[in-house]
Amino acid sequence: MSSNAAQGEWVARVLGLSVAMAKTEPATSAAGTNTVPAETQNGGDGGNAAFTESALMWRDCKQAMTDKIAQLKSAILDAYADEPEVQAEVRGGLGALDDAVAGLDGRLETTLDAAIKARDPAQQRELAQQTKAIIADYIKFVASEKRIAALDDNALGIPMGLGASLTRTLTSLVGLTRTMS
Amino acid sequence: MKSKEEIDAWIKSVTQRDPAGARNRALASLALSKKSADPGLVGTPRGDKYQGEEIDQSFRGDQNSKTRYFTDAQKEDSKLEFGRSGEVSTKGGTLDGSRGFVVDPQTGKTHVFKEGREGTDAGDNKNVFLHHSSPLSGDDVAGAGQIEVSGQHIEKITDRSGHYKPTGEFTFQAVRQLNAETLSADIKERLSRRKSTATKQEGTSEKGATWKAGEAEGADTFEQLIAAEIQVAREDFFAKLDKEQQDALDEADSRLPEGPERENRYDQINQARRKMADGFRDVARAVEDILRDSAGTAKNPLIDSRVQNTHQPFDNADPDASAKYAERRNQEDLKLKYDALIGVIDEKLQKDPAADVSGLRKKAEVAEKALLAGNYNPAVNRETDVTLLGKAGMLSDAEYDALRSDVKTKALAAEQSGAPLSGPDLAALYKDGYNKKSAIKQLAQPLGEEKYAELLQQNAKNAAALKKEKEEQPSIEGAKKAAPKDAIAEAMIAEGLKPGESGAVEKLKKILGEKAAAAISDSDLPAKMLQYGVKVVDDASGGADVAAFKIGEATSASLGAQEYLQTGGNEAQIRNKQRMTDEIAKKGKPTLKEVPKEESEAKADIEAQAQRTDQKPHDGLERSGEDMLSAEDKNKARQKRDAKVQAATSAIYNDPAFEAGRLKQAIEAVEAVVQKQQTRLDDLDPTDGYSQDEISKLTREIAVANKKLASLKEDLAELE
Repeated sequence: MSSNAAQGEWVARVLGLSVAMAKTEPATSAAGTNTVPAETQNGGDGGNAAFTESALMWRDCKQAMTDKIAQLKSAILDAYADEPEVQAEVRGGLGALDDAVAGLDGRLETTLDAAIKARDPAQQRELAQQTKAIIADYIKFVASEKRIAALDDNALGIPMGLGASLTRTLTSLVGLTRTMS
Repeated sequence: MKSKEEIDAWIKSVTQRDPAGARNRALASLALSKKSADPGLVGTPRGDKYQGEEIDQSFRGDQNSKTRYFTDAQKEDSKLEFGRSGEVSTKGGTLDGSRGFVVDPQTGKTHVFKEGREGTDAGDNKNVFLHHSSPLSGDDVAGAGQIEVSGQHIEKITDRSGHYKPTGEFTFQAVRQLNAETLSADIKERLSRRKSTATKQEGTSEKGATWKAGEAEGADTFEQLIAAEIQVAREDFFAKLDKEQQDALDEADSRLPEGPERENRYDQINQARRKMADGFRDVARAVEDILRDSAGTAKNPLIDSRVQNTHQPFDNADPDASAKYAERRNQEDLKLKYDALIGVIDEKLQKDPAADVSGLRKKAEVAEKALLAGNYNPAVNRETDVTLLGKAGMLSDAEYDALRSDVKTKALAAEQSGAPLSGPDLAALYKDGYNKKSAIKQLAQPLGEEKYAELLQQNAKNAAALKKEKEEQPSIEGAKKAAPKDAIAEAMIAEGLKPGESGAVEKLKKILGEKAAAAISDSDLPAKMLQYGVKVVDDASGGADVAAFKIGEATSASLGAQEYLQTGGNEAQIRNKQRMTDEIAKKGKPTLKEVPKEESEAKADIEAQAQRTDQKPHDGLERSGEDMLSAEDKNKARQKRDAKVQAATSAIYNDPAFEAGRLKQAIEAVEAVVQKQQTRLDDLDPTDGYSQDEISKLTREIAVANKKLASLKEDLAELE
């Protein structure tokens, strides 16, 4: 088994996906476009480029996630527009939507930024290891946080696709970590 | 997009915020504030002549005075506030004594003020007065007048307001609004307290959790919040009651041996439980009434009890409001009673599947019938329905009386209108000569022939049972009947005659008459006196009355059964006394002068007897002296007496004219009885609570008297 294949299986096992899906599904950003260069996927030599690519991919994913949640909040408030008292009550609870993805904190952005700026190869290796650990944490979080699934299955009928998007992005990031120096 | 309920549920699951609960709270709040937001009151304007009064009171021709209109702050201070028991106050201070009031048709709030001169305006130096137009600055009012407050409660309300001159409906409207305001205050406080308790207890007590659950899930309207509260109380109450009942039953089991005593205790406990449960239902119903009536359409005892007796009058009060209220209350009463009956039936059958519950079922059927009628109203329904319901315990005495009164009133109105009376109207009036049985039939007719037949059958059964009972337990009347017959038969046997033989009575009369005459002629009064225990008096007649009385006593057994029944014995003696006295006087035996002598002889005899038996001399003759005489003396005295009685009786009863006179008198007396009872029967008023038992009793008495009359007339005819 190639190392790529082994990584794919590990991700699939952690995320509860089928191995076939993990093998065949290309990495995409939250917005749905494949932002990972082919050479990176194939384990090219762009170590710093992998950090940069990962940072951009993750930023896009989080932005898309934030936009979707904002859209959902807006739809919720609209649903209670004719009931001010109820709307006020609901508005007070909207923070819970943000809490649902609070586990995807800023560690990854911080680490990737540091790695991009780093010139010392040893430091880059150290940061690469940290990046892998953080991505592993995130993968576990996405797999265990039920509220993400609840947001995807919202009663307002807003298509969210948070779970799928995060899974694809994190899978792609796992691929990129292979090329990090 | 899913439904609102699904969105609510989703929001609650994700955010832990409860949109449904928030909605309920909002609705409750809206309901509580509804009256002030939209009280739905009608306003009436002040009189035209008061235009410009805030500048000068030209309506009085007084240019140096003006009416002050309240500022917003003063208006707020003048607002009447209510405590939960109807206590009134204002922000501007406590109230006592008389105040002018107006009700704001926009807010429903009542404003009070002290009428009269307030002071002088520093600006224009005019006298400033407060009038009914002051609180609302001359705007329309929903009611105006005076209230009198004592002990923080409104004691009286009037419609005295020259500015607005409100008619009755405005005053009624004002009172109704006062009720609503009081209730609102009551409910607000009650809910607030309940919610506070529930919040504290949430998570630690079932009651708190139930309340919260009801508030959040089941109660989507204000009324449901209330219902939830009552339900909590109901569950608490019945849980406690069940436990107490079980404890009491256990206690009975442990204390009492199996048998009737324990069964009785069981019954007592179960009855007590039913009473308690009924009591709770009454209270719950009263609470629900007050809460439901928060719309302000029905009376509130907190205020109405103070207003009713003093306010004069609610001329144009909405009659429908109270009628609807009464009708609904009546329906609820019936439903409660129906439910209670069904409950008792179930309980009995559970205890004993073979128990006889037919009586209870009938009552329940009657209640059900009334309930199903839907628009049942005791004020207008037929008397017969109410009679049956009343018998079944379905109506209160007051309701029953109200209905009877109504029936009679309608009948009188019909009569006064000149329309020919028929049916229940005629029965209700029950005019002279109207057939009682027909009246009853007509009253029962609305129930249908089948029911009427059933009633008659039941009456017949009752009569038969009564008759049987009387036969088994002879009455005093029966004893009276039996007594002379037995006495006559005994006397016949003693005289060697055969009871029941033809002419035996006449023969006995003759014998006894001869004995009586002999007794008199022998002047042996002491013996007779002792025999009958008669008090001898030294009266002005010289003892003639005593003697005559003795003869009457002696001849009492010779009265025929019919005569005895007719007079009860005593009347015959009294009537005969005069005739006997006349007879005695005619025969000259005994002379009136001889009686005192006989008396002294009797005393001497008794004293001698007492000395013989070492007994203390008896100093009076007012009690029986039988025990003071030897058997020989008694026998001798009895023989003498019998002989005298026989002689006297013979002398009297052998006189056909005397006998005919006696019979005629008896006939007259019995005819009087028949007439009297017939009149009483005719005078029975169907609207005045007569019972079938009374009719049966009078009918029976008339029948007996008629039979007696026929017998007497037969005797007289035979004699003549």
